Amino acid sequence: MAELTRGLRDQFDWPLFVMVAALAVLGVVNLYSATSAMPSYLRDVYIQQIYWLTLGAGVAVLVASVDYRYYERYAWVAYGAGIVLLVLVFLLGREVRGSQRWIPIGGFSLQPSELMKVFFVVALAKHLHDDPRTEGRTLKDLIIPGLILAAPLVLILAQPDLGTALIIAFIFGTIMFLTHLKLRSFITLVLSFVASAPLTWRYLLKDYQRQRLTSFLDPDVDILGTGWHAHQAKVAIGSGGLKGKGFLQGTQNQHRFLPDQHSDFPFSVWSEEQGFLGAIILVLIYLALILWGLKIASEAKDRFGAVVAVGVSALIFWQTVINLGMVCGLLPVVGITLPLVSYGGSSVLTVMMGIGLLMNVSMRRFHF
Amino acid sequence: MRNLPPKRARFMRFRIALLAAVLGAGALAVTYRAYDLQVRDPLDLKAMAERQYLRDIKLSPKRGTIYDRNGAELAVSVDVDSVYANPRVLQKSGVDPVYAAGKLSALLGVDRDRLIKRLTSKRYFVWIKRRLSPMQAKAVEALKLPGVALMGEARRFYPNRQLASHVLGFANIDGKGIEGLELSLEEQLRGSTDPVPAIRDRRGVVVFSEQLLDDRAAQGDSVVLTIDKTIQHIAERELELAVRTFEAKGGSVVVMDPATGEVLAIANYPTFNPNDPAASPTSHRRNRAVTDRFEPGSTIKPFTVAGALAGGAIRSDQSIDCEDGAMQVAEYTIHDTSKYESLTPGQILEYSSNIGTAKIGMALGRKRLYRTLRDFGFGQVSRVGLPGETSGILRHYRKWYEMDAATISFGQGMSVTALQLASAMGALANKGRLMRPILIKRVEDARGELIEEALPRVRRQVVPIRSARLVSDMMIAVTGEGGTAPEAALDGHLVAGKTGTAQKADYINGGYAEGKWTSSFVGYAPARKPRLVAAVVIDEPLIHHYGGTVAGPTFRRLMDASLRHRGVVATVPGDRPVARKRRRKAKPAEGEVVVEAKPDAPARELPEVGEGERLVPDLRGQTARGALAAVHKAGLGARLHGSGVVVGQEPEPFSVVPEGSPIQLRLEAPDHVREDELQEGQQAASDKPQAGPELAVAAERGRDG
Repeated sequence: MAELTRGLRDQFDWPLFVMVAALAVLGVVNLYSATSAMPSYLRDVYIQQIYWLTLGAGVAVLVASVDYRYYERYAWVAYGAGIVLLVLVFLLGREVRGSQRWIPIGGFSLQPSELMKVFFVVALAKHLHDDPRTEGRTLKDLIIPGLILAAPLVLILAQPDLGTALIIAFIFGTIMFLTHLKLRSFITLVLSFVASAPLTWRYLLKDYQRQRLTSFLDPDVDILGTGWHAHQAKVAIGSGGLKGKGFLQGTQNQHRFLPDQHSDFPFSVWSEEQGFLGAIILVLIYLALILWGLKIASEAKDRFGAVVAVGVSALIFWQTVINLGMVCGLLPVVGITLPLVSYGGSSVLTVMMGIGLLMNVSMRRFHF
Repeated sequence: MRNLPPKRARFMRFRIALLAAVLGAGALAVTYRAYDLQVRDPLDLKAMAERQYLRDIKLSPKRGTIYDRNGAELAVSVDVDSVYANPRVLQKSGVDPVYAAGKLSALLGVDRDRLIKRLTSKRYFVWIKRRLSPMQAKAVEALKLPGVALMGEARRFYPNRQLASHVLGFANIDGKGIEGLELSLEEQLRGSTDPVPAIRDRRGVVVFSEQLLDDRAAQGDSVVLTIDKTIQHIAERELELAVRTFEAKGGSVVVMDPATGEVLAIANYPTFNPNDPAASPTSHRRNRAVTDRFEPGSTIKPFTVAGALAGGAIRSDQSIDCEDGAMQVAEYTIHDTSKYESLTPGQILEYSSNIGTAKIGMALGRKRLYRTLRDFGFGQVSRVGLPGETSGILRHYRKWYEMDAATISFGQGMSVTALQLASAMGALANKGRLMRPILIKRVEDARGELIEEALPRVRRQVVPIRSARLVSDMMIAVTGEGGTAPEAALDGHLVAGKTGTAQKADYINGGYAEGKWTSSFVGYAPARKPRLVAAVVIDEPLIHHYGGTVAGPTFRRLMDASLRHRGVVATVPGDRPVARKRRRKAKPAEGEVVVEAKPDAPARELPEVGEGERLVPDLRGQTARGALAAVHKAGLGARLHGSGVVVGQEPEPFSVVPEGSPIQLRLEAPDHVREDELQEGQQAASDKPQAGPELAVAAERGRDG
């Protein structure tokens, strides 16, 4: 046992740890600036974020210390628990800004859709692990994965939480991209997706979601209304210039032109104050983290581990790209947090849980 | 997954590389976008951000404040509401412009047809009415007409109303100086027309940054006058009393500090309220003390005597034959009011003998008499900084007629201003040294940095100290028992001075007008150590006309109160017979003086209450700007409602709030303005008791129409 522990210690994934720590520290520093101009009850959120990160690190250690093959065994249990929580949201959830996403637990509130992302990855990995194919999959083979996706997707869309639903769909797409699909099946899938878009627009999306999309396509249409977030974020980033205005010096942030700068828009604060150079550094750290995740996936010793690693990397990747994209006006505004940098307990815990899984897979790549 | 068949492994590697490529593309897209926004910045987002937080509020530059010598505000700028309309918005909203015009016309008393014309026009901006009363502003807001809105405008406000109105003048509705110092100091007071840099956040809470607060170059400079508000007030009060008592046409009073030449008061009557200059005829707005010249009469005599003593033409103990009351010069006869056989120069001044002075003047000679008077400042503008100042008339001696040397020596055939008289008398009080008169003491920029300062400057030594002393001592007798102005004598102080009773010229028939006089008294006190010099000039008194009787008591009361205000202690016992028989006037209480002259209290330093907490300052009574500065200093934000001065605040003063929280400030036009407007309203509504009911009636009518 001692030998095993030493071995595990040798296998500790230092690069992964350093990148995650860097993002966490940067996030707290940025959060401090983002909320420094806020009323005092919000000004302490950076301290709460430190608590959450510490708790998250604990969860990651816990997740990493148990061999992931145990998780494989209980994958369906986790998935089922996630679905139950999503249903509970409708029964116990409190409504914030027109949608029910949180379950209050004690003084905190839990966002099951966040946790569901990880449980979903594990369940999908379990299915793909149990159903190994060497030849290409047909559409029929996609029915079960499709159902695995559909259950949480529908529940999350009903909250409604378009952002999280999108992330789960994208994770699904990424994982399936790595499994071998028959060409014909692939084309059918893409076509059906394109065909369903107008239906989604008309029946699935809420009014405010449609407005966000239209104001994305024509950002100047309603700067003071739906276009406000995107416009202000753009102005903030743009006014940062090459070197930025300096820590705590961002006028757009400090004078609260920026909306939600601590939750969904931390990148605008960061790039206003740290400039283009700061923005590059942040993007590079994320890129390195995600590529590292793919490297872990390719070195995983089994299919379950590989799929989990790909899924977690995809989670971080899509959240990062969509968040940054929306903040700098490349994508429409959807409520998606920036992993580890955005303030929020559920978001931090989910990402940390994912990091724990990555570490787990990375550390056990040589054990049989 | 290393335990895969080779083909499968190759497939996986390819897919993962593809995925990595997609990742890289995403990162690249974000990076490129950031580059585009931040470095290339094609939309000029930097400028956009600046516009948002900097130039969103375009405060027109605040006109500089005019202070008295002790820092009391004489002219300030406050924000009041004006109502304007965007006719296009109104028309688009479907509201009938004729209906809107009817409503507004009834409410504001603006011509209905003119409003209809404005509101049906195709323009984007038309004024409805400017400078509303707070009640009118509220009523307009309550109408909720689309496209009709209120705008804060700076309005010039004179908190003391008619006090020093002629000196200050006034500024028009656009804040441009029209008369007085407002006109002559326009350039300094106006400031630059660039917007005042100020930061406001997204919710409109104004937050000045330290640096920007400091950089207020756009604001107008402030001016500190030498005027002493209290003495000015005393001068105006006494002048009005004299003009009314003697049923005079008007009058002027000038008070100066003889040692420095600083003008402490310039009062004129009739006067006007600069908050509403249109309510008074133009003649009331004239600063008579500098724009009107008058024949000084006997008040010139001391200067003649001083010049003659200095030039050695006479000795102070010399006896001069006064021809028993009538003297022939050329084809004219000069008379004295009483017959004297021979008098010393001192007696000549005491009894105000024309004949004696004429002889002294002739002894001095026309050239030297001219030089003397010229040197005392007559016939020249004093350049005190007031517009429209006249030089008076002192013809060159080469153009004098034969008898001019005689008559000019006692002040006939020349004209002067009240300011010149006071200033010249100041020279006799100040050891023969004529000081440059100073009215504008300091000009400071918005940060309080000194731009200009007028320091006392000697213009010239007009007569030697000895001559000035001699004449000064002679003039003490004027207010003595046998002199021409015992009414001008003070309790506790010796007064040196000279009366003047000049018949006014008849400009239509030539010669002198029957029964029209200019009565004056010019003098200083204490005579041996002069602290104040004053000229009192009363124009066309009906009841009496002797200078000593008409102007003397005014001088006495003015000096008595002013010397007390300046803290000059009595130097002689106050039991002189003349003093005893006088009716005592209530002197201003010391406390009152202190209150009036109180300089503006500096913004108080607020104690820190706790980490991240601040004490709310008391902002009531402050102007919007003053309040903002105080709020910033306290580390808080502010949100303004209304305009004018702060009348209410939330949270209450001295409550403890988190740092940076906004203070809600309710502003209204100051009481004085409201009171004025009430009066205006009363006149307009043919003496309705209050403006409130009147407005209600107006609104009522609007509803019927």
